[in-house]
Parts: sequence; C-alpha cells; structure tokens
Amino acid sequence: MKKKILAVLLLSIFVLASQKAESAFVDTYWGVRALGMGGAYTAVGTDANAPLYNIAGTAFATQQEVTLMGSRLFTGVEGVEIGANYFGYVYPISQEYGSVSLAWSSTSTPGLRREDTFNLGYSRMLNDIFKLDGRFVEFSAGVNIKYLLQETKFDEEDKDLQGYQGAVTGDLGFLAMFSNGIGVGFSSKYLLPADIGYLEKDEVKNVNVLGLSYYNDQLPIVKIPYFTVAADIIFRNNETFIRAGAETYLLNKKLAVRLGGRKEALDVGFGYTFAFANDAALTIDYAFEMPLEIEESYGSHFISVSFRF
Amino acid sequence: MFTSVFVFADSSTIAVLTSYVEFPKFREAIFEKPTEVTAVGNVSGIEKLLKIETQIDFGMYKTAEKAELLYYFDGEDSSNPHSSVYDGEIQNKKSFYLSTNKEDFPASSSHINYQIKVTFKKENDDSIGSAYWPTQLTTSSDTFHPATISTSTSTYITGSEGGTITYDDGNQEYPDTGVTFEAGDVNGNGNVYIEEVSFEDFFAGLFPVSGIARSAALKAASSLTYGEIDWSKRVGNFVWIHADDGVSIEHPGAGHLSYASSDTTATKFDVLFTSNGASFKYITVTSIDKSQKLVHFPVAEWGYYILMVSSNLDDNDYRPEKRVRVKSRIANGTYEGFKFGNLEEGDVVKIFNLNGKKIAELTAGSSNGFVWKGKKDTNNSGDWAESGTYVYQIKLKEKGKIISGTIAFVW
Repeated sequence: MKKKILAVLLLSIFVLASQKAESAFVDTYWGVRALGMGGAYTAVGTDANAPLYNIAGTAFATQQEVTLMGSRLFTGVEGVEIGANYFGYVYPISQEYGSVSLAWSSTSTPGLRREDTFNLGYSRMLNDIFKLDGRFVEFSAGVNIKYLLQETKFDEEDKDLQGYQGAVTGDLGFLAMFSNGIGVGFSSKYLLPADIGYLEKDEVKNVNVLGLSYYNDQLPIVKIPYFTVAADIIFRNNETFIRAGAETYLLNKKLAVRLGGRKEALDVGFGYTFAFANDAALTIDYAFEMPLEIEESYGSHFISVSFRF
Repeated sequence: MFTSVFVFADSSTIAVLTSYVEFPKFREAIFEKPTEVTAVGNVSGIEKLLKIETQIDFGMYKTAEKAELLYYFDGEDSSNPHSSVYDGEIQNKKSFYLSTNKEDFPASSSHINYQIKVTFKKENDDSIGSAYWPTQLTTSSDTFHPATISTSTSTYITGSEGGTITYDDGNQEYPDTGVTFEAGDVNGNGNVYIEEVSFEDFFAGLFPVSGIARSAALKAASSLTYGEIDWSKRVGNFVWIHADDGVSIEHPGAGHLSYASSDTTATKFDVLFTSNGASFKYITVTSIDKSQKLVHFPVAEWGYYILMVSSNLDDNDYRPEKRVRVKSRIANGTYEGFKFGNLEEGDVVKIFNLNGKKIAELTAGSSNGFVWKGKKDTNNSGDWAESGTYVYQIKLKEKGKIISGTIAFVW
C-alpha cells in the first residue's frame, strides 16, 4: 500500500512538473558548502545546507546542525549591491520518525527588491518501507512546505501596487546513496502553483533537478582523500542547466577544499572544522564565485558558520 | 591643417567658424609653401553675424600683430571688403574670435565671402609678413571663401505622399536639420516650414535666463515651465517647424537636428519642445549619430524644437531613471520600460539575472532605442523575462567604460 502511495506521489510530481508556469525565485545562493561545489548538491547534501537543494538529504543527518550564511554578490561592480543570506537547521528525530528542518533564504537589493523563502521540511529514510538492504543502498524522501515572499519598492507611478506579494508552495525530494559511493538524488521544487504576481498571474516555475554524485575515501590512482564529485542537471521552463563540483577533505578531515561551477560562474571554496567533545563541531566555510559574463566583478563572496551537535 | 564649421554658439545664435591654421613642416617658409586648406564652412545665423574661431601657428614668427576678418556680401565690390579686426592679444596656437560687424550685413543678402588675414612680426629682423585663409599665399590675398547664409525653408508636402523638408542650418560638413513625413503622416496638403529661431529673441524679456538644475523627475514631467529647465546647457539648435493652416500631423515625422561639428565634447543631448514658449516638454531622442552630429527625434507637433547639448555626463545620466517596471504596464503602454539615456551606436546594454546569466541585450538599431521592455534576447525580441531583480551593464564604446546597476522587473 505504501509503495502504491509513493508511486502515485512520484507520478504526481512529474505531472505537476510538466506544467508551464512563470516565476521569480530563480536564484540559488544557499549554503556555502554547496556553493563551493558549484551548487551541485542534490545528491550530496545531508546537512543544514540540504533543505533547499534536496530535502531528502536531511534524512541522512545524524546530528542537529544549524548554519548561518552571509554574502555579497558581484563585488567590485559599482552600483550593484546585492546580498544573499541563508539560515538552515536540521533536527534528526530518529530513524523511525525522520528529520525535520527549518530554512530561510533571502536575496535582497536595498531599496529595490527582495525575495525570501521560508521553508519547513520533513524527511525520512525509506529502507524499511521498500525493504531495501542498507548494505547496498540507503534511500530517503522528503517534503518541503515553503512560503515565498517578494517585496518590491514601487515608485510613484506604481504606488497603487502593494509592495509585498507571497504564496505557498512545496518541494519533494528523493535521495539514494549506494554503498559503492554513487549517489542519485531527485528534487522537484515549487510543485504547487504559487502566484506571486502583482498585477497578473505570475506562478513560480517548477524546477526539477537530477543530481549525481560519487564519493570515495581515497580516489584511486591520484589518491585524493575523502573525495566527492557531483553534478546537478536542472530542468526549468524548457531549459536545462548543469552545475558540477568536487570536494576533498585534508588534514584529517578538518580542511575542506572545493571546486565547482556552471556556465556563468566558477566556484572555489574552503571549510575548516573545529571539533569539540561529544561529536560537536564548528565549521567555518567560505566560497568564492567568479561570474564569467558579468564584467568588472571581483566575484561573489559567501561565508557561513555551522554548528553540529 | 585647417578645419572650419559654423554652428550656433550657445545662446548667442550666431554662426561660428572654427579654424586651425598650422604650418608644422614649413616653419621657415610660411609664405612660400603654404599648407593646403581643404575644409570649408557655411554661414548661418538670423542675426546675420559670422563669427570665426581660429588658431594660428606662428611658425618662425615671433608674434602675430593683427588678425582681420575681411568680407563682402553678394552684390558688393570684392576689392573693397569690410574689415573686422580682432582687438585682443593673439597667442600662438590659442583660439581667438573674429566676427563680422552686424550693421554691415544687408538684410536681403544670403551669401557672404570672407577671408582671414593674420599679420606677423619675425623674431630676428622684425620683418612683417601676412598669412591668409583660405589660401596662405601672400599673393592670393584676393581669394575669399564663399558661404551661404541660412534662410527659412519651406517644402510642399501632401498627406498622400509625405515629403521631406531640409533646412541648411549653417553646417556645411554635416547633414542639415530636417524632417521627413511618410505618406499618411500628415493630413492635408500644404507648405511645411523650418525656420531658425534666435534663442535670445524668442525669450527676450519673457524669462530670466538663469538656469535651475534639472532633476530626473522634472525631466520626466509632461509639462515644464521655463524656470524648471536647465538653460545652462548649450543650445545646439533651435528651429520652428510649422505648416500652412489645414496641415496637421497624424503620425510623427522623423526629424533631426544637427549640432556643431566642432563640438567634440558634446555627450548629452536633449530635445525640448514648446508650442508657445510658456510650457515645455522633453522629446524622447530616437537616436544620436555623433559621426554626423545629428540628433534624431519624432516630430509629432508643429512648434519649436530646441536641441540642448551638454558635456561631461556622469554615470547616472546613462542609467534608467526608473528602476522598477511592471510587465503589464509596459505591455499596455502606460510606460515604455527601462530607458537608458544618452547611448549611441556602438554602445551595448546587457541584462543579467542574479545567477549572472545574460538574458537580454540592447544594441543600436532597435526601433525602441535603448529601452529594455522586459523581454529576453536582443533588442526585446524574445519572450517576457521572469519577475526578478536584474543587473544591467552599460558598455560605453567611446569612453571604454562600463556602468552597472540593478533594476526590478515584476509581473
């Protein structure tokens, strides 16, 4: 029965995903670790950065984690002041009851416009339902309920319009981590039609992301330790985008080094973890993104502090 | 090298000739082997004044003693020209002005013949020599340069065929002021006129001439008073375009005003319209052709069109005045879109989404000018862009500069 419900659910995702809609909220500056890997995180993330990439990843979390990110986009471009912020929290209740998460992301241009996404997520491992052998694969699913809010500073000509416009929508995600290091994730975002238009219908576009990853404790031949390589294939409004990235951990897994990119930007990232008692850890991550099409930029800078406990 | 042109100088509405006489290779033989002069000028100005701005390279001579403008009008004796002497100090390679005497000018004449004569003193032996333009040969002092004085022009235009009226506004090197109506643009048949207008005469005694700084909001206003306009800018051209009774404009004609070819620093152009001298509005400039010194604009009403020219644009003069636009209000014509100002051929505007992906581009040649209407691809040729915050980058070809900013396009 549970399998049938799940099958119907999956089918409904693709039906909804095929709807052509119009939207804002195209930007994904969420989580510094993810950004350091070029945003290829759908089949990687199992932490507090995961909720807005693939909610199913939070089911793999074994500790509570909170992360806070601040950033400045396109520095050096005079006349452009854009900030992106992200907050994420994941609480793994148990294997049986799954994980819950909270997240908030914001992209804002002072005095002009901002977009906020408030996110409440739930995820669970599904091995027991599908009777999957955990030695071969671990499989999870998750759901997000999200509230999208845009605020625009209209001038005199449009003073009849209200500045705030919000709508509710949701995501579904699935993640399979195989014992050979391969991960496959699928995240379908903005599944419910969310109209955020001021004067006419402006429904947020559905985004489907297929993520692939490969992890190895030590990459053969080149012997890169704790190595992950990943790619996200993003389907949105009849367009396809690819994001790719890689990550390795050095210094006994304390120092993370990341590389990534997409067609419009290249990313590099670092992270350092301070370990405490009782498996608590504080991680400071930094990511730098160099836009390839926007000129005169010194790049976008992202920094976050994460605490796992 | 010599260059010369005639334009309206600021608000004086007199013609200006800019010339530069240089003898770089023949400093010891300034009178024996003159530099070839190729440039020509024309004459305009309803005040019937010819004003010449010129520079002289003294060459081997120590000082220039005297500069004269010699001239005669059609029907007058060329052997007994009028003379106007420059009464200031003439410095090497520094501009000085020569002008005709206003009272010499016969009201009926439409042509003038003129010559510049500069007398030098040699450094060592105090000998005196003279240089002339159009020719530098001392033996050719009888050579005068002819020029036409601009006069009002009229052309018969029919509603069924349209027509073009061109007005020689005193700049011989560049196209003249004009307006073209396509068939159906005007209703009725009759003469259409272009007349040069004296700024000072037009506003004489009506208003104070001190300017008030123009704000973006004022510029966008549909009706301005005289005092709300920044008159401190140079008046590049001022014409009255009108027609016989019964000839009305159904669709805007394509007009153009020229400005001084010597005005190499002009970077900002506004066209003002007034029908009565009391209420003004800015006309959207269609395009600017700096190579031809032409500013194109629509002629939608009979009345007075004033080309205002200024230099030293700052970044905000290129940025769109409005940073937020709503799709449906662009679609229904409530407003145009994001209009980028003072751009010309070769300049490019790129629009990026916040992922840094270019989604639109504006180049010259668009019928809308540099206006982003919220559509993707080149010159608004694609689908509507999504709601969002966008980064724009304006690439100024001439300045080699990029100006950036953010705008919001929402549905």
